[in-house]
Amino acid sequence: MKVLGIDTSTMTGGAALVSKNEGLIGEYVLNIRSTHSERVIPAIQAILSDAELNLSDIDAFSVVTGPGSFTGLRIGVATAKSFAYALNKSVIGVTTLEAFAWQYQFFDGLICPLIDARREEVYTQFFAGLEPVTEPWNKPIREVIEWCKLQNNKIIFVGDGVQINYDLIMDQGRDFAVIPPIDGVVLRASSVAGLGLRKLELGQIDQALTLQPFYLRRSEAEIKWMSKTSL
Amino acid sequence: MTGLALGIETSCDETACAVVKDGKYILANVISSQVDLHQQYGGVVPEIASRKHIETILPVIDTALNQANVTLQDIDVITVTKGPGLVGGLLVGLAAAKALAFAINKPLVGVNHIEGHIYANFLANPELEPPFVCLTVSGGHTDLLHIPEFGHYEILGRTRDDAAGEAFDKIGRVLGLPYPGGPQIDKLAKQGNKNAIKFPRGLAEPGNYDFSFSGLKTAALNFLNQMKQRNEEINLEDFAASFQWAIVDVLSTKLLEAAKEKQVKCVIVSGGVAANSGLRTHLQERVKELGLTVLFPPSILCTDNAAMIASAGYFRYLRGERSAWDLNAFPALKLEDKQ
Ligand SMILES: [Zn+2]
Repeated sequence: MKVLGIDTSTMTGGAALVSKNEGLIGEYVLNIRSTHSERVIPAIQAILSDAELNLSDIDAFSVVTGPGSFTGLRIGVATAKSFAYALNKSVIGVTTLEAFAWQYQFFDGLICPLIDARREEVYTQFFAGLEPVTEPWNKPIREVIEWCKLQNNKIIFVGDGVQINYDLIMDQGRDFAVIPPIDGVVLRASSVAGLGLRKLELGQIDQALTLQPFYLRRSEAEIKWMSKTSL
Repeated sequence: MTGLALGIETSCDETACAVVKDGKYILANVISSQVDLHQQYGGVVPEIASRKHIETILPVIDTALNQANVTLQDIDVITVTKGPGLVGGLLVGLAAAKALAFAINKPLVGVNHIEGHIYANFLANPELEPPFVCLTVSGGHTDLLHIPEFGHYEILGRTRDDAAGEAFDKIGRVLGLPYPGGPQIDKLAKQGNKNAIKFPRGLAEPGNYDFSFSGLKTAALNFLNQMKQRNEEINLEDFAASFQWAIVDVLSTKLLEAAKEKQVKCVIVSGGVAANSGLRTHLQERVKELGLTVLFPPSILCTDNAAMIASAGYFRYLRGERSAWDLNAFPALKLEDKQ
C-alpha cells in the first residue's frame, strides 16, 4: 500500500511517498518563495520518477486541508482530490494540526502546533500524543500562551508561528516551552503521508467530490458582513 | 485521437467545465454560477469566490463528463484558463486541470480568457473565417481587436479605466439595483428615452480605439447627486436608457469605425455585455446600413464558460502548444502576452 502525502499549507510544502512495506520512499520539501501552483506537481513528478513509479501505483492521496494559507490549501486539496477522482483512488484529508501531532507523537508533554494567522493570531490545537486535548482554535497568540501557563506540563511548540512569536514564547514560556531545532519546526510531507497511511488502514477516507479545505476562519468579507448585520 | 478537449474556467464567479469535440462541437457546457452568493456584497468577493470554486470544481467536471457521455480517459487535451482574472479562482482551476492531466498522462494547455471569449463565436458559427474585427466586452474587459487570421490578434484598443460591464454594475449598485446591475439597467432602459440626459462620451476622437468610462461614471453620479439635492424625482427609465446609450454609442461607433479602417465585412461581439439588448439592436440596425454582418454568440456563450476555453485551447493544442507542470496563474494577462 502506497500513500502520497501533499502539503501546500504554508510557505513550506512538498510531497512524500510512504509504503506500508518499505516505509518512507521519498520526500521533497521546499521552503521557498515560488508558489505552490508552480512547484507541487514538479515535486510529485520528481519523487515518482526517482522511485520509478507512476501516479497510478499510488493507493491513496493524503493532503493537508488546513488551517494555513487559504490559497495554498486550495491548491493542495484541488490537486489531491483531482488525482483521486482521475484514478479512482482514495483521498484522505488531514489537518495541519493533527499532522504536527503525528510528527511529534512521542513527545512527553503537550504538543502545540502554531500556524501563523497574521494580526498576532495563530491557528492551534493541543495534543497529548495523538489525542487532542482541545478543539482547533483561531486565537491571539497571547491568549494561547496564557492558556499554556495553566497546564503545568512541558509544551513543544512547532510550526511557522514559532519563528514569528519566538521572543514571546521564550519570554513567557521559559518554564514550560520546548522548541525543536530550526530543521524540526516545519511540517514534513512524510508526516502527512504517514498519518494518511494510518487513516487509510483505519478506513478514515474522504470523498474526492466533497473534500474541502479546513479554513478555521471566515473570509474578511463575511466577518465584516456579519458584524454589520448583527448591529 | 478522439478530438475531445476538456475545458476548465474559474477566473471570476462561474465555475465551469465543458467537453468540446474538434474544437467546435459542444458535448457538454456546465456552468455553476455564484451570482447569488455575491449579491449581498454588491460585487464579486475574491475569497468567497475561491471558496466556492474549490467546493464546486469536481462536481462540475464530473457532471460535464457525464453529460458528454465520455470518460476522463477519452479526453485528448485538458485546457484551462490561466488568466486574466482573480488569482485565487484561477489557481483552483489550474490545480485541478494540472492534476487531471498529470494523472491521465495527457497534455495541458493554458488559455487566455479573452481569447476564449473570441472562440465563443466559432462555437456558435463553426463556418466563421477571419478576417474580422472583434469587440470583447464584459465586467472584466473591453478589448477591440482586429483578427486577420486564426491565432493572430492585433490589439486596436482597450479600456483605460473601467470595463464597460463594470460601469454598468457600479451605477446599478448606486441605484440600489440587484447585482449584477447590467441586465437590470438594460431592462429599465427599454422603457426610457435614451436622449433624455446628455452624458459624455470618453475618448470620442476618430481613430482612437481606446475606451474610457470613468468620465461617464462621474457624470452619472453627479447627475444623481444633483437630483437628490434638488429633491427632484429621478426618472429611472430615462436615466438607464441615457446611461446605456452613452456606452452603446461609444462601443458601436468604435467597432464600426475599426471595421471600416480594416476593411472587414464581419464584426463580432463577445463577453457578457454582448447580451445587452440595446447594443444588439443598435448594431444590427447600423450594420444593415453599412452592408456588414454582426455576430453575437448566444447568451450562454456570452457569459464566462468553459466551452470557449476548450475551443481556444484545442486549436492551440493542434498547433503543438503545451503548458508545463509549473504553469502559474496570470491575473493581469493580456492577449498579446507570450506567457
Ligand atoms: Zn469573461
